[in-house]
Amino acid sequence: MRKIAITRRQFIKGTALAGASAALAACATPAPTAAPAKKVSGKLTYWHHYTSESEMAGLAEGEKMFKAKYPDATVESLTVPNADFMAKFTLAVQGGSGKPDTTMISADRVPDMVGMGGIQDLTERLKSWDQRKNYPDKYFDAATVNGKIYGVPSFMFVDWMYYRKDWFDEKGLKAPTTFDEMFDAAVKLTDPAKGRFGFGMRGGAGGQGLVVQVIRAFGSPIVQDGKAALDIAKTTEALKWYTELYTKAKAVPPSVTNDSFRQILEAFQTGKTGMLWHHTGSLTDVVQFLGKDGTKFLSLPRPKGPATQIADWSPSYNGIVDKKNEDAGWAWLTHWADKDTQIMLMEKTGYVPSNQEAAKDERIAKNPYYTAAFKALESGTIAPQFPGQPGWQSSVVLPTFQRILLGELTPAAGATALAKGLEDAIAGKLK
Amino acid sequence: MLQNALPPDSQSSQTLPAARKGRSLNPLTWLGELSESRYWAYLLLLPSLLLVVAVIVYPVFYGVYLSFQQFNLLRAGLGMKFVGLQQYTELFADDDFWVIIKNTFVWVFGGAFSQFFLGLVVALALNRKNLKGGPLARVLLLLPWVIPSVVAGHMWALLLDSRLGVINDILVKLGILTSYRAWFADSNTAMPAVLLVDMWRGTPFFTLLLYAGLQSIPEELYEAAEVDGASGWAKFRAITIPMLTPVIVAAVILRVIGLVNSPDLMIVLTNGGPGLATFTLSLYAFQIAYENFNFGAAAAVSVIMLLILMVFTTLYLKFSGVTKNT
Repeated sequence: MRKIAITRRQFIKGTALAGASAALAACATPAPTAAPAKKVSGKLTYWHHYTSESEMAGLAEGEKMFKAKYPDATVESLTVPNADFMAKFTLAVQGGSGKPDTTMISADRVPDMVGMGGIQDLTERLKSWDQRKNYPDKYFDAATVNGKIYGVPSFMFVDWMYYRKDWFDEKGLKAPTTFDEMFDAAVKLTDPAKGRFGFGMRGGAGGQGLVVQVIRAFGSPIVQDGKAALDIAKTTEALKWYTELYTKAKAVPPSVTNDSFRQILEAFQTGKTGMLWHHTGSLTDVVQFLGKDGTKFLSLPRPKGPATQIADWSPSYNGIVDKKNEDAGWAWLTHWADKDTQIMLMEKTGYVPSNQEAAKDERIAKNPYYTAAFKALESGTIAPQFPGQPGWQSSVVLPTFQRILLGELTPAAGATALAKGLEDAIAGKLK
Repeated sequence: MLQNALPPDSQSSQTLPAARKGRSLNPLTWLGELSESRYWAYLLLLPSLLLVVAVIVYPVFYGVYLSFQQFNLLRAGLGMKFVGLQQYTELFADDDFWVIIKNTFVWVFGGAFSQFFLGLVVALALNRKNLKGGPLARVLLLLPWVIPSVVAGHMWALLLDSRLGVINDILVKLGILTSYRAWFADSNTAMPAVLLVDMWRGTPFFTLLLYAGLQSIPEELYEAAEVDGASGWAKFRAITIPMLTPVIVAAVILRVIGLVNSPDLMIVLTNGGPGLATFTLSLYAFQIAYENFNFGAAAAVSVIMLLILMVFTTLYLKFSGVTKNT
């Protein structure tokens, strides 16, 4: 055996180097691991937008299931109403204190929340997450900014529509598949003597997203390559078609400009309106009033516009805010991504699972009401995402749309206002 | 003036005790002597002054500074950029801004003066000597002021609801309306409806202050006027109103400031809609700051609100004559 000659000086240098390397390795932050922390303990805070009785019941059951998995952990959930969320979240993040460990994230807010440094990059954890195979790549698109992923889908919002099957049968109408058919049906179903209106239009809070969907269905892009790309002519046509349901056809309740979710849902549940655009999250509430035997109402994919069919879906994500409690936060995120948790939430609320294993469960796959939702999930798209989008929709699109409904603006003037507001929003100058 | 008001031995100690030579600096003695110097009042005021500087003066000046910057919290990475008067010129060039200014005047003056007149009537009624159940009435009449505006807003949103609203039901049953009306959805009725809700909430504020003012008017004045054969209206005009003027001025200023600055009721009831029908400056500033996170522009709107309030307060104090005797 060959002897290796080593001087005392070399030995000391080598030992010092090895010691320093070991010390550095011990100090380095461990790489994030995908597997949920086996031992999760202490308090974990979570901000969410659940408000309805069914949603709160789902959340409470989800917390109970988490507690069974991690007995030493306590979850402190806080309802932050959707409308107030960005204000509270921004102040908490910018202020540096009072921010939650984890939060629910609406897909359209991801760019703004990443822009302010409010949510953590989960890309590395997701690479080795054992449940990743149950999630199509496209489900992470809206949570991806510059190639990094910031959220785990906990359920899906799938846009669809409800219609009163009994009213349609009464009038001998077939379920609408195009905008023209829908307009025609709305007119024919309207009967002021019976207090019936063909369509429950959401012209109050929350209606802005639907306006943008109609614009897209008429073929106008919203943004292209990060720049405002609204087609004024197509937007004008879209605004004209949508507002004329009220201004010309009078097929919409006169309270339209003040009608938000509560009002449109109540009107449909109590037999005041014949069609309603919403997403799968309201199914439980509709079933509660109109039954689930399919005789009074049915669900449908959204009708096709003159240019294309817009059937949006968007995942509701959960993300980690505070790095200090990252492992516990990851356990919470993956808990809501589990098949069992998602089936439980679907049963309580009607939200469509994002986990493909859960979606195959017969309680969902064999439920006829969800056929429309799965069709939308196959062919639908996700709404365009860009920084400033929520602000543009709420402070430009909605008031402009209301002014057209009130006759204060023409659709053409409204389209111009939307385009100007969009440019300001993208530039971060929106007032 | 202050020196003349001080006793003679105090006037002899108008310098800081530390400045006195040849005296021991026992802390208690030093403090005792300091308390008799002219600096003592300033020292007592110092904590409050520091607090005022920290929570009022600094934010106001920082707000003015911010209004000359382009600064969006969602693009915090871009930092601040000095843009001079650009925020202001863009606001003044925007037609919507002038609609919002007009709405603000309707909201503030419509609200303050309707609440003042109703509050005065109620305060005069409560001040009647032979009023039975007065204490109970006073408590009940003050309840709307105690209820948080968000709670009041949601309550009235349901009362005036276009499908479930009790008020619509009553008006239809009385034959005043033929069908339910969507008060907050019509640009002609939205502002009056919000003003009505705020009148319900804000009137007790005036009632409370004016009633306290009425209680402090000496009874002898009315008795002397009666001896002179003055009518009820003459007594009201020559005694009640002049004696109440300082209270009226203070109450109106406070209420105007409250109405200019508070968007809470509007957020709950209409969120400025339909269209821009109930959009006021405070709601505009709130929306720019907390929906669009454009803090530079929001600061410019806030500075405009501050200037409007300063001009109003100065003119109001001048023309009300309340400062003449001071």
